[in-house]
Amino acid sequence: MATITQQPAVGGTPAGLPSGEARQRTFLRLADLLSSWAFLLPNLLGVALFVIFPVVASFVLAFLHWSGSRAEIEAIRWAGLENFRDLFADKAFWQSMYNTLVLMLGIPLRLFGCLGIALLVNQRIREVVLYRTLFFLPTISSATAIFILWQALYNPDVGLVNRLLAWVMLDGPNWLGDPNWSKTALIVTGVWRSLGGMTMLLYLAALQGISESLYEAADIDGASAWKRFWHVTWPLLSPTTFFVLIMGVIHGFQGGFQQAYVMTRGGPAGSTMTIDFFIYNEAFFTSQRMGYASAAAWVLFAIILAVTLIQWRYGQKHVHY
Amino acid sequence: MKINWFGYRPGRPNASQSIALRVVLLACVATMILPFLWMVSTALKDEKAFQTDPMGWLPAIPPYKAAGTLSIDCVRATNEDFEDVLLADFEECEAAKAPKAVARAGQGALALTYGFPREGGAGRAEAVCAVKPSREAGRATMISFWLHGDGSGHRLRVRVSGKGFTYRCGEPLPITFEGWKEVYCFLRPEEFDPLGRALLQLHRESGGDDDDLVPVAAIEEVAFRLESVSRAEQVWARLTHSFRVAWSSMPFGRFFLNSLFIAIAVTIGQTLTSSLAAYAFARLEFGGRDKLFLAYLATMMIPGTVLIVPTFLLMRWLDWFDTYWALIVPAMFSAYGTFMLRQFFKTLPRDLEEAARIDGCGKLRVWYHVILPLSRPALATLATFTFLGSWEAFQWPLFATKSMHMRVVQVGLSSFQDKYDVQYNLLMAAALIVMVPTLLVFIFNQRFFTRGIVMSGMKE
Repeated sequence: MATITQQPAVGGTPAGLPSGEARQRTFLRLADLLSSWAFLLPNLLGVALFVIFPVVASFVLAFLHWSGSRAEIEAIRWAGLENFRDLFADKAFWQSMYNTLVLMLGIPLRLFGCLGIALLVNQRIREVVLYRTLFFLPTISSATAIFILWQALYNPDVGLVNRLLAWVMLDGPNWLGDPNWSKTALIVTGVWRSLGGMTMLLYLAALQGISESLYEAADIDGASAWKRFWHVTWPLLSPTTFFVLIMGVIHGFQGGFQQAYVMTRGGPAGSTMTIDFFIYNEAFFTSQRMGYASAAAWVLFAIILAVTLIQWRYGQKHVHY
Repeated sequence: MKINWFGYRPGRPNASQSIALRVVLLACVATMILPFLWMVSTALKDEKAFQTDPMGWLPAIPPYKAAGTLSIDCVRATNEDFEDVLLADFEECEAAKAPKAVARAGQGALALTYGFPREGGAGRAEAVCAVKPSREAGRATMISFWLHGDGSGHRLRVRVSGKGFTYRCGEPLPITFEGWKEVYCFLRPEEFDPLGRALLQLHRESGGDDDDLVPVAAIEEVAFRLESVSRAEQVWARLTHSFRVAWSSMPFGRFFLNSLFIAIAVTIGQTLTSSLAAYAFARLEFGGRDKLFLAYLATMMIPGTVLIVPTFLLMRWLDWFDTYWALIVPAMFSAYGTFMLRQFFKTLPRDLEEAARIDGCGKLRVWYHVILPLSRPALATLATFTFLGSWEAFQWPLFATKSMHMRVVQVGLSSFQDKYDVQYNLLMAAALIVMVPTLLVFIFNQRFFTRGIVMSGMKE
């Protein structure tokens, strides 16, 4: 509060001794400034307390050994870089990193799937709104419910997936019980859930923003449907693709906890434990190593930042606006 | 930018093309819909139908039964110390509990024989268990018994009476199961039963209210009455069986209320604080405004994973762990909402606002009477998204609460999953209970979503 009242006062008082009128003007300006800050204050305080403070606290925590309990506040020890050193030596961390990267293979699948669906529902068909709603269904259903549904679908004995596979004479694996298949199962569920969702809508909006005259010009040049897509549509969609990829990578790195928690609890044999699952595990489930978990969170942040910057620089060269 | 559903589409399909398109579209739609169909079909089965025929798409419903016999065994009362007291001489009481026990009507068990007129006719059958008084057994909190059901769907009512008191059923129990099953009749109001048992809630009708417990020794008789149902009611009872068990085995009502309350509070809080701050960033002049705004933008980059541990510690430090405060307050302030509204406010014409200022409106009144009404679409989009985000929140409520009555829908559903691991009929029923209400809301508000998604995607 002190800074807020001081700041306008410094800016508002003229150097010389103010006359009565000038003093009133100063007062009005001060009141104006104060009321402006009053608009900002609720949100600012909230953001300070629940964003800025946690960021700082998390950074400090990353260099401490602490269970987070108030009773053990005496037991806080300075760790220096120990948390980071232990982290890089921790097999579970590397495994979770590997798992996350493998699960991110779903991003390109999702991208092409969504583009395909967008191209389909962009066609001139009368009942297209119905299809769009049906495609939208998994996206707007509760994620927990969807993951529970798929956990049941993957059941090796009674689940629908293996039943359909048996129908085409294939012997389905124990999807969620087999470490070799669990990640595939999670990717399929993730792609299925997002096929008609946000990415599809973004592509659809972008498709409809492409000027008709470009296609006409391509037609006059005798371009085939494929060439028309490859030389007109795809380049003009590149800003959307770029946006979707950047967001997908950011979410891919720090997501996956809910799906893994509901469907597999991170198992079998840690094969679906993602980085954020690893962090929450360290902080809340198996151990209460708040410092260690914070260190892992910062490493994750650094990775996300680096990858996003690389993508950004690549995008500057290859995206057509 | 607006999605123009009926606008230009490249190429106009001819007849054969449009048939091919529809085939492809229908194939895609089928993969989207098939899991949902399986979900509904599984939820419509009861345990037995699921065990015997997990593959069938339609649940088997047994023919209408107008006559038959139910067996009732081991009628007992549970006292405050959770001790069971047998209320009459039931031989081989333990045998009834064995899963392979067969119907033993008349062998020490109480037989409830019924012969109703054919379908639809009202009918009743009664069996009474006369209680042998037992001394010093404490006071009764629950009556339970073993029931050999015949899956007929007829409804069972239980009445417990003694000197000066009578307990009656709130809702009768449809006999949708076959074979022995334990039925529990609560004499005290219970919201739910975490063990997913067959439940009856009995209400005290005379001589006091539900909270006064009567001594076990005062119970004189326990009467069982079977009421006939029509074929339609029987089918309905069968199909809703899993839903009823799921609903009564977890406080889903409480979960829904929690989620609703939290989502509404977060939505109101976030819309309010964001629109106030956004107005300041968009229109008011003060030193350092744009730098501060940049700082706001920067906070949006910070991953939630970094924030969650210290926020959790902060909650504990404030003693907010496992309270509504922890679920509402941290979610009420959003840099993203401020950013989005600020961008929108910037596009509003200044004329109206200036006219209002000249007429002597203060900033607050301009904000309330000019800016907010003009921004309804943006506010609606932000509110819808905030509501959806809060409703869907999973990690934070999972970490920030621990008691059952603080759980939100998403987390409650996942704890339901812990209990009924492979009871897919119950799991699917519970998932549908959670899914359907929100699905309806979202389908009817679809345009807010599509608009919001496109808006957030085009923010560059």
